[in-house]
Amino acid sequence: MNSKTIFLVEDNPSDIDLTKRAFEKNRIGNELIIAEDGQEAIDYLFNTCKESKTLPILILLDLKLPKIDGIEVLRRIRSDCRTKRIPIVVLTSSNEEQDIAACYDNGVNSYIRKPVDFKQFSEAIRALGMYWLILNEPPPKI
Amino acid sequence: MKQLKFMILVIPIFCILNIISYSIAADFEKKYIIVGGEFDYPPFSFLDKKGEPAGFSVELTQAIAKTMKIDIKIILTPWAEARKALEDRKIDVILGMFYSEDRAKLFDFSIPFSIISDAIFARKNSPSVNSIEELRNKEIIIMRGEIMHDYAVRNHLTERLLLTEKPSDALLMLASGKGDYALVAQLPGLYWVKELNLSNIKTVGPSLEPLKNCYVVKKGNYLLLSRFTEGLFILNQTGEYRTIYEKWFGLPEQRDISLKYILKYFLGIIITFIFIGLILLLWSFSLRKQVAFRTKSLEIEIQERRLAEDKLLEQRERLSAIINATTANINVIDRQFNIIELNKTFAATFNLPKDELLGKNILELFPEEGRKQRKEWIESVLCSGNPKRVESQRGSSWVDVVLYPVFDAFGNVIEVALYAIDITDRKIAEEQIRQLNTELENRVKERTALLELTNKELESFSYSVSHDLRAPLRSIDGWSMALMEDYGSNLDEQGHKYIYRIRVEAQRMGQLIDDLLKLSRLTRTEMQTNLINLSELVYKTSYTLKEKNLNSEIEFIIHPDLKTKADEGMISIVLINLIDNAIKFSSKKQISKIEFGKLKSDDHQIRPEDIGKQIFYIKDNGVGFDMAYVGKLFGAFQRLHKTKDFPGTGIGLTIVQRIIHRHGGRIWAEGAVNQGATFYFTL
Repeated sequence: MNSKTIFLVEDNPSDIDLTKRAFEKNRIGNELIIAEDGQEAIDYLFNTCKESKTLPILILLDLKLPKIDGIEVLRRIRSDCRTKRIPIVVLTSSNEEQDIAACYDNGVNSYIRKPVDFKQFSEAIRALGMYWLILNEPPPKI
Repeated sequence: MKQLKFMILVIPIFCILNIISYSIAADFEKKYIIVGGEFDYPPFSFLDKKGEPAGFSVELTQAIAKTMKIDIKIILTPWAEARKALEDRKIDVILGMFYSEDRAKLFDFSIPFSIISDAIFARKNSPSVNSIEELRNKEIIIMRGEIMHDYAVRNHLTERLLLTEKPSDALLMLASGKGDYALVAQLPGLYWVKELNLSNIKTVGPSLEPLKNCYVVKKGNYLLLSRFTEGLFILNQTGEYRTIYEKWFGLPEQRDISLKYILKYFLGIIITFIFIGLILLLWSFSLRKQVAFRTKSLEIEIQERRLAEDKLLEQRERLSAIINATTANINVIDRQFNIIELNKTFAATFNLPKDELLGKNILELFPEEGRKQRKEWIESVLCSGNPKRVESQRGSSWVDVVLYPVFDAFGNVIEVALYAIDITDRKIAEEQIRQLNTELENRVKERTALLELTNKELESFSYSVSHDLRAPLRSIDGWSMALMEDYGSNLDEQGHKYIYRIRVEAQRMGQLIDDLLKLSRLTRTEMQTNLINLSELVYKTSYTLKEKNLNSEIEFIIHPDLKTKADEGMISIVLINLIDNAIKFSSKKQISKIEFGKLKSDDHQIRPEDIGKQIFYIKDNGVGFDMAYVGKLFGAFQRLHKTKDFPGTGIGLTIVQRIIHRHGGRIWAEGAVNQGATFYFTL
């Protein structure tokens, strides 16, 4: 088991399952931790800090979330010194310019629009897994 | 003249003598002064019928004696005796001797009290004499010891001198045929000619050198002489000298005037008068001519002036008509604010006759509160010389006042012209417009707010659409895929086909949603127009699209350098859609021919509303369309062809039209089935 966890923030159960499926299909074996709304995501991340557990090495973040939306979650993660270096990939349905701009303004590392075609979606997951988990040099621990 | 000469001679001498005379005056008052003189020398000195001394010199001497308080006794003797007596100091003074340099060696002379000329007398048949030199070697009668005697002897004038004692004797001798000429003082000579009625004697030739007749004393007796000189001066001052002179010489001389004499003198005078008359006549003629000329030019001048005055009057009338024709209040005031000119409207406004307003101080016409303001305006124009324009409110009415300076020839402001119009109506209208504008602005604000709200709603709607509508599609596609992957072996070929259909439709739905979002986004994006080169943009687009359609043979005809003002990003979308369509609908041809260009300005297709605009077109040789359905061409999700033949959502042309409309342009299409299509647009 790979100890490096991936944190998925996604409210749609169908999307969660499809994402999991895409991971499996692409043989990405990292532990996938799921938060189904913004509040849950923040609670998890900052409790993890307190409990001095290991933080995820990658966060996949949807934007349209119940309670606290994705951009706010992103902002909070980036404004806390403990979590500010974690690579975050926004994975969302929207390609609204204002969303893309807001994400980059708040320090997102990548922005991926989920294609309707599952083949393409699966290919996107494969690519980002390859890139962020293997090719990319992770940030040093704080 | 004579007096002047006298004065010149006397004044300096008198000044000197006067100083010393008083100191010695006492000595003379007691003395008995004997005055001698010629006894037969009228009108200067002679013995009258009673045997008493008389004549000008005698009377003058007596007047001097009286003035100077000198006791005198006048003894008149023949001239030679008198002279001898003075030389022998038997007498003190001679009351008349002509000055000569020779005599001045023996005697002291006073200032002259008269000037006498000797004249040459001759019998009437004698020729005239031009100078004394002509008398040389003639027989000349002369008075013994007289100045001419001295002269004749000294100049050896003649050997033959006949000497007499008295002038009368000399003339009597001449008249009786003795001698050729007699030299006798002119005045006494003429006196005797008349007195003795010597009708055969006349003066010939010029008067000889004028002689100064003076008082004379023995050399050295200047004290006495000064008394006489002083006396003379006093008499001259008091005017007594003149009285005496006029008594003896001032009366017209009674002379025996001959006809010839009269003729001679009067002819001269008459000729002179005729001459003067002629000159006067000439003068008057020329004067008259000049007057006529001047009169004429004056008349012309007067006429011109009258014409100018008439013109001026006309101009004045015209100006007055102009200022009276206007409904504005016009008046002119002087520096004291008094009205000096006004028009009818002004008089009517203040409901006073013109005469009453003229000369009135303009400020008095306004109520107290308006005066100060008006005074300031007028003063500012008077000071600065610049025109001024002001709007002023009085009660509910408004006036627009223009103040204009009037300058004199030196550039000083002497008057101010005021022009005022009632602008109450305009002000009311302006106020209404302002209110309407405010209302309109408010309405615009309301509408804008409403629109913004709608926009926001639209945004959140499209946001939801992009998120929420796409997610289920993705699930449909995803689970269909899962079904096929995991349970594909349990399905037959038909089952696989169905799953494929599900996935295609889900993806098409996704495409539709994306297109719809693009369309809604277009209305929200702000436009930035610049001058762009459409031809270049078409070229780039065609290149990109050729890359995507490598299997088709496409021929592009792009007319170069067609430029227009537009939003480059949006126009790119238009071109991509139109060219993509052209490629798509001509893809069944062996060679796709696509042309981009601009209609000529005189093209017969140009509609009146497009005159002056650039009309661009994109033409293809594709399947074209039936013009019966041209109205559906630009409707959203409207399609004229089967998806099977030509894929697409039917949103492309809708987007194109939306962009063209946002640019204020128009788009239309022409085509026929299998004969290609042409899309025209203006921007």
